[in-house]
Amino acid sequence: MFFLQKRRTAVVAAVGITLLFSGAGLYLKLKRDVGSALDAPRGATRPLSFLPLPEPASSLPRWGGGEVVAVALTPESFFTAGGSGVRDERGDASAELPTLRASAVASWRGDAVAGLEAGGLFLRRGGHWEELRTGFGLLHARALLETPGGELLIGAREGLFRAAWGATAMDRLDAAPVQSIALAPSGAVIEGGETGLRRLDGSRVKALASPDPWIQWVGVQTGDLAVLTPLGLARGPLEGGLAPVAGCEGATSAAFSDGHLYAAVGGRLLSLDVSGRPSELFLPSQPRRVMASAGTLFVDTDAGLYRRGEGRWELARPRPASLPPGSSHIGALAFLNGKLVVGFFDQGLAAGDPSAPSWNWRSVQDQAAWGVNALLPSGGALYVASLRGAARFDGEHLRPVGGADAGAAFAMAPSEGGLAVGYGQGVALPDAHFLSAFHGLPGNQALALAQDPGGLLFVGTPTGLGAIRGARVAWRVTSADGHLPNAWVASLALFNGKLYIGTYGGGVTRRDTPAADRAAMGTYEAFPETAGFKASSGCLVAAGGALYLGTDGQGLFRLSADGQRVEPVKAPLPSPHITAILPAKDGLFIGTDEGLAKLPLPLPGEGA
Amino acid sequence: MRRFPILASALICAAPLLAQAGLLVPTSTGRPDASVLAIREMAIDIGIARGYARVNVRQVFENRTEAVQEGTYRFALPPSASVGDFAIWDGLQRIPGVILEKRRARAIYRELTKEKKVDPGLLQQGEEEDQQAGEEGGAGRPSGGSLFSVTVSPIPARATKRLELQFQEETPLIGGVGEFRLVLRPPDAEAPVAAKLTIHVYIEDGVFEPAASGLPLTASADGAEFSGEQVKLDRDLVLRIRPKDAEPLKLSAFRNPDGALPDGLALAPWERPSDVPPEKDGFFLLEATPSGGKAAAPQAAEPAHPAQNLVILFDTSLSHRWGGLETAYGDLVRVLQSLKDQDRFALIPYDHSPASGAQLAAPTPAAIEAALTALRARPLGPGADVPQALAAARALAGPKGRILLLTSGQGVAASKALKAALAGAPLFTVVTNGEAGESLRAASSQLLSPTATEIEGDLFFRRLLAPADAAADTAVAASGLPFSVSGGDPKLRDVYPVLVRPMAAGSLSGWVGRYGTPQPKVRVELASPLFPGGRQAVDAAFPEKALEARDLPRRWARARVDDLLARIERDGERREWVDEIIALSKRYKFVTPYTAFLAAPRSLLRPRRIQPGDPVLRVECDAGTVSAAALLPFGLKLDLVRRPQSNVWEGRFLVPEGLKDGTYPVRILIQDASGARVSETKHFVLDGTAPEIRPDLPAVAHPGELVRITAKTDKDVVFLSARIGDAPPVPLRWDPAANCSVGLARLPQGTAGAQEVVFEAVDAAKNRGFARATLEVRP
Repeated sequence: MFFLQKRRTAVVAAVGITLLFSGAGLYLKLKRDVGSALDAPRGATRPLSFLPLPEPASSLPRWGGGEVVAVALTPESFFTAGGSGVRDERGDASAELPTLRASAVASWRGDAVAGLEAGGLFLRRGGHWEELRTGFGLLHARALLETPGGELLIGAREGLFRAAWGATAMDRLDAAPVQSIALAPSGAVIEGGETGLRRLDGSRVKALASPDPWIQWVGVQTGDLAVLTPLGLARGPLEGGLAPVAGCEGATSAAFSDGHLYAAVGGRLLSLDVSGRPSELFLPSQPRRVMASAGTLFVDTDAGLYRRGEGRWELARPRPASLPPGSSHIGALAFLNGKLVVGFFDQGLAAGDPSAPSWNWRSVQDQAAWGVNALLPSGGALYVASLRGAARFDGEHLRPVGGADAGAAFAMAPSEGGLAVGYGQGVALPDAHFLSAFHGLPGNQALALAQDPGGLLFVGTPTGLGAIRGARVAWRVTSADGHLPNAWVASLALFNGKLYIGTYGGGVTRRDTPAADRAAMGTYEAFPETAGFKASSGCLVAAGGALYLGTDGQGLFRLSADGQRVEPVKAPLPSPHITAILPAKDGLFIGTDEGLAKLPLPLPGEGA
Repeated sequence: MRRFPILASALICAAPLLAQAGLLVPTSTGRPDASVLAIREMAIDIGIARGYARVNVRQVFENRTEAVQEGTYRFALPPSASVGDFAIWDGLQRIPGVILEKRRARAIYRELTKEKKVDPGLLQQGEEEDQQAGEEGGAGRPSGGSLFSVTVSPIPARATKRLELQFQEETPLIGGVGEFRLVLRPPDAEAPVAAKLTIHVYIEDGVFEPAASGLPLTASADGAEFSGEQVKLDRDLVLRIRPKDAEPLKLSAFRNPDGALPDGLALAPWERPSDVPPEKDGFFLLEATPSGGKAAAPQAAEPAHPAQNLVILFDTSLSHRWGGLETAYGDLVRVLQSLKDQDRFALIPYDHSPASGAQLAAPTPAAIEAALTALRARPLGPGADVPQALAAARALAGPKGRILLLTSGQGVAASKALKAALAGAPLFTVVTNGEAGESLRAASSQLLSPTATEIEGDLFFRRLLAPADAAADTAVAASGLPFSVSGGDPKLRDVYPVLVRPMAAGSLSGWVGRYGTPQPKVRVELASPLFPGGRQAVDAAFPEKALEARDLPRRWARARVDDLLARIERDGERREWVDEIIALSKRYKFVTPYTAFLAAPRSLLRPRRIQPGDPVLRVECDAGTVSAAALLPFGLKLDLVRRPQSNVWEGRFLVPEGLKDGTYPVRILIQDASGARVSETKHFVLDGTAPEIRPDLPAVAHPGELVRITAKTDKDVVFLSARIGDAPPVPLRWDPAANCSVGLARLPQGTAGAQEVVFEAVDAAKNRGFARATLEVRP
């Protein structure tokens, strides 16, 4: 009896296990099938719609990078795309667009179509922009090309796409990332990107050999194929067999036009004939990039965009007022001796004259500051916190402060007796003492500092808020305390006697204390409308009687007049990634990852 | 955009730097990862004789991926160790390292890389770049506690890479027990698994004793052994050795008048005939193991000691951070707790100047707590003026007091300045970070380096408070030697002390030197109060031919190089001394600060490092590089800029929003002045997930108690700490037996009620995770 009972139990268990495994297998198969159905295959079609963009509430002076990366000739106008956005003969044509920096522009059935570096594809019709929304999500277009049949080819980080004029759907032709497109005489598409060079015939994709898989540019002229890779320019027959072009190893851009291959190499413009024989072309200013549109050759220079016509160069469009050549990702802003000093996220410093139309930028040729995080004017000089430490800038030279081994600096604040500097390892106080987590701070990396007139130095770290009195840590607030919506304290500001704390990922909270005990840890009140906001470092700034908050991705905000809520500031900034805010006498300079803007104060539509 | 903490913080793990078997860490993951590079085979041969261990490690790593991999081979050595050989196999070809003068090795390396005919590897100790020996930090000891790091590339897909490492080090014998330890468990990563592990230990003059904490070795006929498959390297190789004979005085010699080893000589498995120098001169080692004599009785009993005035200098300079600070603090607490009622102590923190107002006080719990509290409240400050601090301590300690210096070892002045400040007072030094410099060694009566074994640490702290006569050294004979030889003149020269100094009861001390004239029978006599009757003699020979003690030539050369380095520290660099160091290094085959291994024609090292998971990408390039760029997988071509006064190129970028955690390739393009371009693919790890912590605390604790804090966290966590209330954080380290991370924290006196314990974990990508728990403290 006992034996039978045991056997029955074993059978039931076996059946149960079998069912369990079968169920798990079915579930996994179903999951895979659904996943593959949702994941667009190489050749896929998704809906396409055109959504008109609203007119901007106001227009702002904006300064991005001055470089031009693409040109489009339309019957009505002539568009350029680059660091200063999409521009036509009237100037900035991209105020409605969500971000400034444009990565591609082309003519499509007589209208301009442009791609933004931050993502998004836009068509300009009747003087207004429409967004191309597709089922493929946000596209980061790098190359746009109209086919002879009137279709638009879109080369993007997400792949190669095709849209027919007036169609309500878009095709994905290839899933590999694309940086450049060219059309072969046969109608085949030659595409190149981060993962290689390919030829697309109908729906068939064939990989082509190239000296390097990273293709920056591809061009075709009759049976001639040329590609630009990090190893230089290579050229050969369309059928295959690309060979490096001698003397063009350092080429940064190239274009085909009127039977010649042009290349910008080390500040020179070379023309190569069919046999590969080079000759140098001289322009009024140093060439930076060469490109072609509708058979016309254009060269971008420091003085502007030149067009080749009738055997001579003519200025097609002067360079707009812009940031100095190089990065337009701003890390910090400050004034020094009437000049606006810009510290770049991935470069050093540049100083410009705000009263000059073209700014007259002067880059500071010193390596003591690179990767600038904060700027602080003090005692007639400017202190710089960068990834190379802290330095003092007197308008001409940079002098490191804080020792060679201090490491990266992130924040600064005037403190009792001098300057406090926030480093990755802790806070250096003016009396040369150094406090870190060992001494009670919530973390070592000091991202934000603020000095309270009552004697407390507040320290924001990725792991909480601390307060220093004298050379001691008075108290700290960490994630475990529940006072902060997010422990990553990115910015601090004292406004109307209260401490405002901007967190990266949790929005803003406000610390209040009893009047009798201003040094207490205090109470904390969050602004729920900012939940999830990523406050940018150093971007809580009081100006014109208001407190402004810059965020990383959500744009610019302001504390309402009654101090009860945080409300958005609607303005066509270069980007919603705010990186710096600087009060000026008649407005606010706003630094972003795509350039600079000036916001008038009081805000447009508000009284004085 | 997603942001990550930018600063790559310093190494924050406070693991001791003991002799460490090498580990090949894949660059693609930045940490040991068996799914990328696994240990297929590992064989360790150790020969121990005369207080000296010679270690051979052979490892075969297997690339388990379909991609070509690059790895960084890392190993660390204690101060007494010398790297004798390093070789890498390329298929069936063994590519040994050749020792050259460092400058010449660098020049050849650059020349070869420029011509691109071959791709050589350069192995040198410490920093890989151009710090010259003789510069600050350069003239350290030959392998003094250095971390060696060599990039091994390429490792073809699904292929293996064999590496060989050989080094020698002293094996201390203290209190009648010897200890050898080889670190197998990585201090800051998941323990790797060796598919096959074999260990052979040959002990010539001792008997193996198993140690509870190490791998389960078994006794063999001539030592100990271990063999296993799928062995998880979560325990170190620890050996305890009991000497076979208790001879208080013993003489060993090596002399090879033929200049070559005879055929048929049985070599140990780790030996190569070419390793033995063609030296016709004789080498000897005099070993002394005193039983204790009159001093033995009090030492064996309860460690009572006479009243001492102890002034403790605690380094609070900026260089004393992280693990070093914690270690120093732990040592401080240990010393304070060992003080007796009759003692007096003073604690003086110092940085650019010593703290004022310190007074000698009785070691009451209240006084100790007050001193520790004041120390914890003192912020770290710039600079470290050790002579000024020593002078202040000397003034407070008085002529008979002792000074304990707890220092990071950085920024120490020359020995002359230190000795002047001490004015004859005995200095006991604990170095907690990096290497102990020659100046500190010269100025200190006793020095404890961060790589010391447990028994060495015990001896140091015992001696700190021991009576002065118990630590007495031997008397120096009329010949200038610490011992006398009668019955013949062997023409001894260049004699140097080794092992435990000064002699201690039950501990092995020694003198190594050379002899010019063989003597068949002499009497060697050593005077010391540690011997019964104050004197010990042995009848021995300085033989015409003796081939057994083959370790002696290299051992003597190492002692000679140490002596020359000490002279350089004291009197400045002289060409003849440097030339001799280089000649000794080449002849006896071990690396010094003035020499380096150059392995040609294949690659051992590419000095290009990338810090993964960091938005500041850094690449270390050859000095001739004129431009560098990184091609990132999301289409960004990032032009890198050179950091001033370095060969590091860097670029700052933001990771696009939506990029998932994982490993990503990045191509580095490098161009030199001749226009030649090199492209290499590296990998970085994107990890934006904060580690999770699961704390576990005892239900109840009591004031003054040492609380055991445990927690479990993610496997990629490199640092885990816990802080009780406002006390400084204590590190938690992985305990394989407990299957969790464990730390010990002392509850301050007067603590009561529910105490918050905050845990913090930092993973390899510098993500931080937190947890809190409550500890109930009852009086």
